[in-house]
Amino acid sequence: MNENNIKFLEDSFKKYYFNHFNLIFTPQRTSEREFGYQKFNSGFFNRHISLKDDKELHLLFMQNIPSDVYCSNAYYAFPNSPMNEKDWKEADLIFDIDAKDLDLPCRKNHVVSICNECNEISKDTNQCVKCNSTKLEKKSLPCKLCINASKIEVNKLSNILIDDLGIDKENIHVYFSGNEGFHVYVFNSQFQKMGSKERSELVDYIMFRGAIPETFGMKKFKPNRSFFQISIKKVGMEDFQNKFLVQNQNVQKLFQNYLIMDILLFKKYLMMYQRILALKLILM
Amino acid sequence: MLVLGQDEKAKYPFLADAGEYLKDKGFSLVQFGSDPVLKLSVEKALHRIKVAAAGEVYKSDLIDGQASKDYVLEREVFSFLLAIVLIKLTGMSTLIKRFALAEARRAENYLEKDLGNASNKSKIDLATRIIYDLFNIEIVKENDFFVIPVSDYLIHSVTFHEREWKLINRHVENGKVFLTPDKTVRLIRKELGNYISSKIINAPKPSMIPGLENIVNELISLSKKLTPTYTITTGEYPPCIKHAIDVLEKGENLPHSGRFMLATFLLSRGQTVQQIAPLFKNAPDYNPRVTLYQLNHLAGTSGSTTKYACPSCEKLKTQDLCFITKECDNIINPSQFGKKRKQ
Repeated sequence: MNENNIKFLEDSFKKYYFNHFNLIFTPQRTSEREFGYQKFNSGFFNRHISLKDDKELHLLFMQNIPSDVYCSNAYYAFPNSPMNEKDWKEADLIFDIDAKDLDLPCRKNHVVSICNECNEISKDTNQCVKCNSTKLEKKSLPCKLCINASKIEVNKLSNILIDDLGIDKENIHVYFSGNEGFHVYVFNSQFQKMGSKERSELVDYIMFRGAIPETFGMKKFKPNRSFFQISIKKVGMEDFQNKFLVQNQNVQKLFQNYLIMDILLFKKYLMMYQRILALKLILM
Repeated sequence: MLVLGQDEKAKYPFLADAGEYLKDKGFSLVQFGSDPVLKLSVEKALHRIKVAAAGEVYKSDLIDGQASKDYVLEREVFSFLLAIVLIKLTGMSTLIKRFALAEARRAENYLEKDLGNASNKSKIDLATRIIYDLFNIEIVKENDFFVIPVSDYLIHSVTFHEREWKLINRHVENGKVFLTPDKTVRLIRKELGNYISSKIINAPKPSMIPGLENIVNELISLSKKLTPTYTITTGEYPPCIKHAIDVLEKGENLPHSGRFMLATFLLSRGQTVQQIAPLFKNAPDYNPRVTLYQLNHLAGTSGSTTKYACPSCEKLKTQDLCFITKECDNIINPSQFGKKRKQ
């Protein structure tokens, strides 16, 4: 980027930081978090910064005019120390919902690829049309369909968070991610102190990964004797009923229709379903 | 502090204070080496250890969790305490592990019965108190189920390999997991085992009791037979790792989880960061600086100094990274591939 452009951007950002700081969300328990930032046209990532409150954050904006600012979802005893000395206390849950993971048909209309080898820009996202390299970087701008589809996923997620996981509605905050979706923040939940393994297990639950037919009453042997007594609602998968099965029908009856398939086929159906939710948990 | 009745002491002897119990009954350890009547308890203790070493659960003389006679009850507690003394005298850690696991499973049976005993509220209360006092898990009875917070469930179930323990296969509602008595108790088996083994490890080692030398020697040779002497490794990579390397060699994109698996696996096989880094050269988004940073992080040489382990086969299945073949031979982690234990 040339210097004039950088100067223009920095001036504009400074103006914005000065006039609209109230629009910038300062996370709660500021002093326990690690902050970091990057400046325009600089690859250097300045991190391990601790800030007392929103006033210090404002000062950081005005003094450094960052292009990007980062904040940990974790709370530390010593946020400005090196990683191994920070003393991790707990962390919020943050979910990243991104339209690029939804396999939407509109994507081909607004995604281009830039070849890392020859810089050729093309609409072919698998291989460079000029040098056949597969080292491509994809760039995309979201369309209305992408944002609407992401919103539907946000709703699904918040239903699971509230109904199944017992999280208070007021502790769920949703923000535009800046790219093609939303970040869903969960504060003050029973999951604050959980480590990465437990968090990834929670994501498997939300993504419907690892479900086994037996959970729904399917018997491994003699499937015709299965009795589907667990309602879909009870395992928190109302959405499963909406998409995989037909809505508002008796679960028992519906499952009986599936008895014609064997357990492996049923397993396949369950695995197909797990891809519907496009969601990632941000682990920082 | 839990106040235990006599029956509870026999069912959950690890909760009793060993020294206090012997003192209350007016015995010293030395008497067990010579007194012919007390020798019955020693034989029972030996039997208890042998059963545990064989991977089975010792069947006590209690009927429905209750002792028919006082001496039956005493012998139950004595045999447990003496078993610990004998294991301490052998100094064999294999025996500690096996005994702790078997005793945990035995206690599990009683806890399960007590929790499932709908007609006896005091038994349910005591079982839930034991679980709360020992493991800080608050269990509440709701109709036929026991409900625990999802976070507690995850913390205890995350190491289980069976798919039925994944949260998705449980009844979850309003931040709580609904469990049957047997599943509730199974959830804490490992902790129960850890609790019992820590009690054994922390118990002071007594000096040899005259008269028990032969029994101790017998247990030492039994324990040696249980310990694998060496492990052989074929050095071959499991199919999941071969697949990941193939994907990278073709210049195709390997997802983050696949890169994590590959790097942690190779680190566990003793390869260095410098040896592993070139594998990622063909990745579409390859950046040498970032690759080295991430590999050093996984190896624990930078950042938090935590060394990351290769994910389990179960985890890889959920990430579509598992390409199981019969050579996998029921392993639960790719790092076990090709390793064979020889007795």
